[in-house]
Amino acid sequence: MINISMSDLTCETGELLPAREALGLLSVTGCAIASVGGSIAVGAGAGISAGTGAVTHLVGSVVGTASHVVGGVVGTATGVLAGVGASAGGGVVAGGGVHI
Amino acid sequence: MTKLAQTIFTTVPPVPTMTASEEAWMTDIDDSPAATIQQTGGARHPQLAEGVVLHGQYMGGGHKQPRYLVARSDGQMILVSQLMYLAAQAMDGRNDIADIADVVSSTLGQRLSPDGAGYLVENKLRPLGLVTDRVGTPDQLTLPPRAAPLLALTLQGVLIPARMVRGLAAVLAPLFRMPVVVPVLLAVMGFDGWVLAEGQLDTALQGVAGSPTGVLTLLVLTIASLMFHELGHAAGCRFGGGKPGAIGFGVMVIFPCFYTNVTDAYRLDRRGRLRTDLGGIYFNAVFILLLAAGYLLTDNPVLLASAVLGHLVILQQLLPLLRMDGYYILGDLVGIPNLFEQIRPMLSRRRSATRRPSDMKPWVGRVVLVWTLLVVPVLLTSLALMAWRLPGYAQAAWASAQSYWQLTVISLHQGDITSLVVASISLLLLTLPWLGMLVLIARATRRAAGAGWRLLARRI
Repeated sequence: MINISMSDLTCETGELLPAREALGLLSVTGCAIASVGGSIAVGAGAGISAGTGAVTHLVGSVVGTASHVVGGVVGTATGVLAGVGASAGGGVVAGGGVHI
Repeated sequence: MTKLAQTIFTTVPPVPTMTASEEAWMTDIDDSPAATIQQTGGARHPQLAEGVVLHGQYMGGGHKQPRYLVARSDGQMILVSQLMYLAAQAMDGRNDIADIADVVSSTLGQRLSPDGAGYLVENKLRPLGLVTDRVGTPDQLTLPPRAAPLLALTLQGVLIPARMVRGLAAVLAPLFRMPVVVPVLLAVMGFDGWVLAEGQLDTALQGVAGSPTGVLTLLVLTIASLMFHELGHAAGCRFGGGKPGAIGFGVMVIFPCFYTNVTDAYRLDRRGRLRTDLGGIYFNAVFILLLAAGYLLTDNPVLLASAVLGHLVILQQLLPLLRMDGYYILGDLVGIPNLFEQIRPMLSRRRSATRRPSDMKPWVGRVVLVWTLLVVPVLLTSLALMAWRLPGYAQAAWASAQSYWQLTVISLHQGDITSLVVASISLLLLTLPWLGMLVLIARATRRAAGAGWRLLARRI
């Protein structure tokens, strides 16, 4: 029978796993409903893209720009909804795109 | 000797993975085998701490060697090696260290010395809070370490307690039966096609514009959709045999969000974990279908606008970032339960001249490497952008807060309940990201200070 050496034992590991919390971010709510004086400059074809802060998300403009794949449909929807927020008296979430 | 045991002891040992909190915990422990038993005194008949449950192998894992799951009474899940798991199994309070060594040796077909068994118990299992003494004397380590990821929820609060969530999940779990799933998805796709073909989207959305009531309804529906999303995770977990925990509210980095505690999903197989991950967006699809039915019946444009938002939520959730659903989906596809913890070893391995081998399967290692190389620049760029724009955000936030406050006061005087609610929610949502940011900065500062102190202490 082969011996298990002490040096082998030092490499044994135990990894603490973080609590598994399935998230539902409210940021899309903000993206859709909020606006601050055009900070959500989206418009048709812009997708949920950034530009001036449409996805002022940690994901930020990089992923926002990549989200162009969402295409014109989402872009139109987002753009129109940005207008919804604006015309509803300043938007709901706003903050210059802090919460988008 | 089993094939498994042969594999374990003939390959290069895996690189130890340790969280920051674990590192801090271990700082004061002399980890050398020689110092082990003498240092701690060593329990003669060690046994598992109260409430510790051995869940067996982590199924569908992406490691070269199988990993095993252990749960502490405080809910902390721990992934351990096979050797540690076998030692833990043998700690029944009757076996002494020599017996534990014998049990492990006979199971593995490799000889583990009593000193080795003592080392495992005292230096590997006890620091994780898994060991107590037979006579019930308190452990030297009274506060076992917990995972403390940087990108964790802050300002948490429970909205629906675990017991109620489990009840709701049990009711909703049948929605995961295949004869239900397929028609739901087909119906959503059909509705999307119909909306696009009919060109009603713009008209309907413009119908919402300018109406505070419409905006408020949209907000309520979106929040309801997110809660339903969370119930989807819980129901998916339940369908696979897991026990979902509470649903609550918190702030992820700076973003307000709901959450469902599905930590128990760790012990499900890969299919069960993926069902839990996808349960949220599947329930978004179900919600969209309900909205679609409502829209077809009432022609109310708010319902269509909310359905569009539902699609945005799905797309956003699929991003493999920030512990969103896409992050867990990717982790479960490759079998690595904590991807963010792999970033540092992955990058250090790339920098290291010795190129220490990964403990992941080769294809898994490649996927995780690609994810790392994508996610690190994205997060750093995003953080930089956020910092760069911070003054502008603060200015706009302050202006918005003032206008919402004025709207609140005016609405209150005029008795306009709708505007009052909208303005109040706006103020709340505007404040939360800033609170979250403060907590994030405080946590990052504390960690940096701790790391600096440990570095200093080592040099001294």
